[in-house]
Amino acid sequence: MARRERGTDEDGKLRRLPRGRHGLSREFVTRNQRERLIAGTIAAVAEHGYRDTSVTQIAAAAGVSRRTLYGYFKTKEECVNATYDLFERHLLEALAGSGGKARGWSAKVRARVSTLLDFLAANPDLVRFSLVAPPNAGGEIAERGRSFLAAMVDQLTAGHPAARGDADGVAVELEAMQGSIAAVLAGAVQVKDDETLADTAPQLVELLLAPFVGRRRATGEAAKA
Amino acid sequence: MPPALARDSVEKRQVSQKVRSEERREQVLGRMTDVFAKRGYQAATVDHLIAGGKISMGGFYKEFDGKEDAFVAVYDRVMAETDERLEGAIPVGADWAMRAAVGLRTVVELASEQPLAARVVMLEAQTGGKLALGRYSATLQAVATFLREGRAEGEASTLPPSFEEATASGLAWLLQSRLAQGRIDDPAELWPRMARMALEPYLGAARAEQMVRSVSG
Repeated sequence: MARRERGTDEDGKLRRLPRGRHGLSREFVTRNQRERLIAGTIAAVAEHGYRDTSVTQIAAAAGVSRRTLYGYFKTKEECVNATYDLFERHLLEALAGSGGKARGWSAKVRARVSTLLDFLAANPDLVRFSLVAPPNAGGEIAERGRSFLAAMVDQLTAGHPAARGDADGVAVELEAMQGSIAAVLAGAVQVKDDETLADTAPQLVELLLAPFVGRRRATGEAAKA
Repeated sequence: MPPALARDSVEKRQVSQKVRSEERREQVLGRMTDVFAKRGYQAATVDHLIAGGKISMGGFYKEFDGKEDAFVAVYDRVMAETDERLEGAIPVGADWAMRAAVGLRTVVELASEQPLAARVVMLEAQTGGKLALGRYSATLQAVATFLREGRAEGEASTLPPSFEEATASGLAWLLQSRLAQGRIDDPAELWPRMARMALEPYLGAARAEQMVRSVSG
């Protein structure tokens, strides 16, 4: 069933606010417009990639004028950075708040993965925006993508037990795991099917646990996801 | 006397001209590799490629359709060299595990020796337009397909279907994050860790370690 966000039309484009006197407070409009621009940035970048996204496309996707956009952000880069910051903050908060009741670290990781996938399934463009588009843009955006991914994996594995084996070896394993996680999520949103993201849960859990508890145990714990 | 050995035979002259023009092309591609790596695909212009590649404008457009075509040629040259190195390094008749371990060692060492070429195929290829991205994805997929052969080793019954794609991306990630910072400083420490990671799911920890040790020697 097609999910439709509030305030969007059938194509998922954000509706324009009514013009003129609409009885909405100035603060509401301001917050609303900034959020629209963030949503517009996610949609535009997910569709066109960073390089081929223009300020005009972001404004169009947000349903605001370019002039309005320039009231908030001077450049495309500012739109993108603000979007990354907001997304990262919200996601990390959501992850930090999940798994509180779960007993044991593995169960916490399973709960966090489920929170992550719910978060992303609500708008799979977030995966395209944050994990698919950055490597194709290169430079600073790619760097931002790497730091986002590292922060996300840190939060997913927070409170982990001491890893087995030598510290340098584990560090390398953890780093590779980030690349694997990005690939699994990116692969899931390439398929136009809402269920695909949720299906990645066991694989993500296994990837997150393996460097700390070994592959065999990780596979067993992942089966519960 | 075979004609090829005859002095000043027409054939010999044709062959040597062809060899010379291929050599020249190789040299131009080698220099253009550095241009793409240092400037980045997006920022590099045909003017940069002409100046850095030491080739005339006419010569450039005789060889290449434009920037993207030149990039793909650079990519293919680097990969051809990689294939040659792999062929030379992997012993005849080596089994899957040996090929995997020697292959990883060879690729990491080559990427460490030639950081600019490695940058082009591992990082810039992702930013280089549809053709280049297609090449990059195909390379990654080939690695995943090769790793999947390891399932025949017997340990791997519970792996998810896209396990190898995730592994290939993870291994690539290790090289990419180092190349993005500059270069790979620790090939001798890095490749055994990568090889253990790649082999362990199929061979178990003990056999993976044994293979890594035998290739380290």
